[in-house]
Amino acid sequence: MKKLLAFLLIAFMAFSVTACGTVNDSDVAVIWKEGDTAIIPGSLIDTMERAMYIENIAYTHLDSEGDSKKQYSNAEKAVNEGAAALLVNLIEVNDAEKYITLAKGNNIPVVFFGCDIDTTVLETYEKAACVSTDDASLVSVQGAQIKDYMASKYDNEKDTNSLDKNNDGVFSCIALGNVDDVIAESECDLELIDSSELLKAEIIITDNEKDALEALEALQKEGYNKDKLVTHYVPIFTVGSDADASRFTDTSEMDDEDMTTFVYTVSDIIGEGKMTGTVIEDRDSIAGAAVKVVGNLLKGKEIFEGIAEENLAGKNTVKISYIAVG
Amino acid sequence: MGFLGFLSFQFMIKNTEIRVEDEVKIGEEQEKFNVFRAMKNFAKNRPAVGATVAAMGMFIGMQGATTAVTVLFQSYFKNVQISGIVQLFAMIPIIAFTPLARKMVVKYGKKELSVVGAVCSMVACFLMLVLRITPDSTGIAIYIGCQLINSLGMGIYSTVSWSMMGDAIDYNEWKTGSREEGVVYSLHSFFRKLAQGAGPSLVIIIMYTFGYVGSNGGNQLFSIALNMRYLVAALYLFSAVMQFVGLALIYNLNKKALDTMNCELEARRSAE
Repeated sequence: MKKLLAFLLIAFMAFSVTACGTVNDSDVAVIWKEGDTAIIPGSLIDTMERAMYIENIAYTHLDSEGDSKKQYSNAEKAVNEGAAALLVNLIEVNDAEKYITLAKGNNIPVVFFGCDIDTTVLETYEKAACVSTDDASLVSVQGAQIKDYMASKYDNEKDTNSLDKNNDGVFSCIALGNVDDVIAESECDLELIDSSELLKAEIIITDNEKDALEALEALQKEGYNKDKLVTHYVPIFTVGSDADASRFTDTSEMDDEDMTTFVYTVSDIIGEGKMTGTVIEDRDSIAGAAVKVVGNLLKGKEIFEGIAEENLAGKNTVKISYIAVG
Repeated sequence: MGFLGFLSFQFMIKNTEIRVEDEVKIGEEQEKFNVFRAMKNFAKNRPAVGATVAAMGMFIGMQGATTAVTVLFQSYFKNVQISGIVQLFAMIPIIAFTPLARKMVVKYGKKELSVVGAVCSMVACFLMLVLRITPDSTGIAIYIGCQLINSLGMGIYSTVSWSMMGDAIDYNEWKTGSREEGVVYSLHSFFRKLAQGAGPSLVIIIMYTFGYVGSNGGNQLFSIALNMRYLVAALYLFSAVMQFVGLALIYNLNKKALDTMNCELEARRSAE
């Protein structure tokens, strides 16, 4: 028994060694536009922390409070303190050049994320890169989402679509915001109606969460979209998922402290079946790609090693498509 | 399911060996039962205490970790679907072990086998704690590997736990001359239930100190999910250590002692 315990102790000590060590000796400075930007599960800062952990990179968050001068000052300070790299959520896109000059002068990588940088500026430094959302994909992703949803409601045997409540062969659509391209992309027979004719609507398409939540609120007052029941339901499609939607759930038993930490957003509403779908930035992929690029540069690997080819958009740029949720 | 349960019970009844058969005579005078003396005997019954400590540790750790495991799969691995598959995988070692259980018990002994199981669990859970289990496919693979070994260890004890209580009852009779089956079983069951109820409650308190936001359920910040990842491993390790303490250090009926006890009890009963 004593021998067994001694062996276990030695084994425990030996295996403990495997838990130590990060890729970089000094921190990577992650310089945000605003440090307290929606620290909710699934936000960019949350997914960035996850990605940093996966790549085993030590980092420090720096808050710029929405001030581009403070943001550059943060970068200078981080570099002076020996930062291993700069990961910048740039406020002023035109400032990219001076960050690249700063990083190049200290031979450290600089990766921009959540913003679009001119490729000619990026190409002046081999350790500079940019990871951002492919804005052009929004129309195609939302259009495809709506198209697939409409197709799923089609009954081949009866040659009818359950969404066509009045069986007139077209779908009455309330369009809120700039969604003309999305409607065209969906290739569905959508007939636009006025937003005042809410209960005649067979589908609602918006380009922002505020309009979607207001539409949902109006529908719920009429007894619609309270659960997953098909009979009293108007599909709502929107863009985004961060807006606070706690007014759509029961918070009566929560105290003030619970309310400050409670998170209930459009994603939750979709999960409960009250809304149909949304299109969001793929934050996991954006953070993952940005951190992967930083990690590659720190380890002396190829800059885009491990990044999916379909996301590469030039010598120093990664573009991540929107994703559909719901 | 009810029909399957009925068939299983019939199988169990037909294959259960009655070890002690008492003839009851109507009007027979018997010594008056004293519950306090019986409880005192339980506390002195090392096998009963050891098996109970092991069971309590298992329930506090394993069942207490349920909520933390939900966070682990939803917010850490971001893969809720795989949690069911992992639980299924975790049953594979014990399903594979069960047909061999009887032969191995006869050859090595219940305590010996259970202690080896506890050691396997401790090693697996320690690895789960210290290895870099990242929230990606590699991390999930390491987690599953550790869980398979942990489940085997826990499962070995689960297979023999109730028969160890049977031995503990015999031990009570051997040492005190008094057979108190009802008290020993009921106290063992009581402590198991206590652990099943207290475990999740205690763990929830610990989770809150690590930043868990109850109203958000399984949807937590990554920093909190990371704490839950370590908490799950620590709880499983706690279970394994309690099992080891209960079975290796307190439970004192190894194969040799069990054989001696059974022989003496048989001789005593024959003499009666």
